[in-house]
Amino acid sequence: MVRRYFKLYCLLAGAYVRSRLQYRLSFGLMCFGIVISEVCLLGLLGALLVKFRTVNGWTWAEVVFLYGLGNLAYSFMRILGSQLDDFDRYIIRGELDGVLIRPVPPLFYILASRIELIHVSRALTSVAIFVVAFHLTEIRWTLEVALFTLTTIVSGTLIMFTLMLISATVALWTTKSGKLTDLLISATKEATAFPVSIYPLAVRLLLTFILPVAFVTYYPAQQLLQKGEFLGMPESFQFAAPVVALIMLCVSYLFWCSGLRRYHSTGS
Amino acid sequence: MPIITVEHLSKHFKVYKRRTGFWRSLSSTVSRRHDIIKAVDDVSFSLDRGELVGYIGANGAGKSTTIKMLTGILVPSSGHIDVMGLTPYRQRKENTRRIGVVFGQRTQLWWDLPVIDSFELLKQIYEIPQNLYKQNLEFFSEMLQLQPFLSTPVRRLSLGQRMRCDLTAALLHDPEILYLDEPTIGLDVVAKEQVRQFLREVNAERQVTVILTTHDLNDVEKVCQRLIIIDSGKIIYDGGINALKERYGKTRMLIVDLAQGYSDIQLEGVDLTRRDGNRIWLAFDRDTISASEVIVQLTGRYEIQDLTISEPEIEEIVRRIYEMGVH
Repeated sequence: MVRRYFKLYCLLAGAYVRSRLQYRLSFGLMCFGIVISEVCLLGLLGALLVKFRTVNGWTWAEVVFLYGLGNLAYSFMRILGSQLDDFDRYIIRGELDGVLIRPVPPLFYILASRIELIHVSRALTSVAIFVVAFHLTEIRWTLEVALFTLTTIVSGTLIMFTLMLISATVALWTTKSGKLTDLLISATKEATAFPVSIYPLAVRLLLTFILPVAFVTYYPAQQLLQKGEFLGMPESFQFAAPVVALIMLCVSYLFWCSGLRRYHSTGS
Repeated sequence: MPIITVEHLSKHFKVYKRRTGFWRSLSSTVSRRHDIIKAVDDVSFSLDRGELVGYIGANGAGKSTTIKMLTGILVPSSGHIDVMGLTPYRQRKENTRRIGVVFGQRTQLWWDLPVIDSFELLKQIYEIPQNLYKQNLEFFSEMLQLQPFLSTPVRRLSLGQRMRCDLTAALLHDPEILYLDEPTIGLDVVAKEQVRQFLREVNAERQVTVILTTHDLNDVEKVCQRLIIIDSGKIIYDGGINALKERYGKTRMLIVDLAQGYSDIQLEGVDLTRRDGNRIWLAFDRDTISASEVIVQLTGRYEIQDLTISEPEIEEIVRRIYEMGVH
């Protein structure tokens, strides 16, 4: 069962990649553009930090680490959810009907049908940034740290992915959701790059309990960087990312299912 | 035992009214008024294995909605559907394994990849055993002459070639039922004929039950044994094509070229339906007056150059049913 779906995922994603490679020049330019924009962003961040030294008690290295961690989760999320940023075309063009006539779970089929290689090039860039950032901090590389970092990245990816899935699912009611998804994508990306402590209380609560992106970088970083900055939240939050990811997975999947039921009963 | 049973099937859509003007459109997002559209309204029919049925109706009559409910894409508002013992929307996956679907307006093939790649992907999606896949692919590519463009990307195919590939794609997994939503739309005469021929053969040789929706009544006349006409969500005719002609096609048409333009034409038992210069169209009911009687009348009073009798086209009959309802 798992093998079948793994194989199918590779085949469908592979078909998409092969389709894209038909247009090599545009693909190459896109990849190039992504790398350039990542490097520029990082440069900007560096320039700001050189000027201001610290952000709310966070050193230059620590912020770069936070940025690198968030960017890693973000770019993995974009790979996994390549299809979700313009999911509404499935509704607008009626492509969802074509998905529903296949003997495969619709969400799986949709996610597998597209792996955007430009996001892979972004992911490679962010791996490089993260490795550099890791060295800038004083984190000692142990097996425990490695496992914790890995868990954090996986959980962070899933948390961001579920937020994207939820916003895409809105299209099943409203027909369009592209703008909302774009907004959410860029907002969550920004929110993971800086310590949540710089925001007012309301935003902090929002980023912890409603759009829990604080669990992508900020809370796990407390453990890795030994900051001990919890803003009145329980200290156990530093280990909570996998739990939050699991809860979000359940919530977003249920939301997706109810959206699909609605589509089933209203049609296009 | 029927392969498809539909009982009192209905599908109602809520259509929200949007009001014009800023404040009104704002208030309509809060208190939304809606109309109920009965896209399919208390429809019942059943199909036997191996039937070839045309499902026709004007735009918005409810054809596609019915097909979408039969394929499990839409959930009915009320009523009962049984397809091969399954309830399509509840057992969607099991149902999809045993049906093939072709949407004439939208290809299900991978647009930028060679045709054969789409077939290979479908093989994996439907878990078609290798030998069955090979056998079916050979069968269909010979029947539809796919060989010359199997390695051409789908986007470079002509519409006719693409439809042949879509038909193959829908049949590779040996479905028991084939649903076609306007399979001949946009095709030229030759390609249309090819599709029709193919459907007849698949139906005869593989015992595939075929349901097709169409606007082109020639499809129905040349392919189907049975015809279901739907209008405003209700079935207004369900039966054989010959029976339809028998029942509604009694009016024949006599087209006459007169030698000169008579100002006034008077004939008994005949309606003058159209006039274009010296050519006139006369409609008459074959139960009340025979063609020879009409001609005798005609030649007795006017000078005629030429005449032809036309049997009612199914299109004409259906048009009349739409306009007047069933009597």
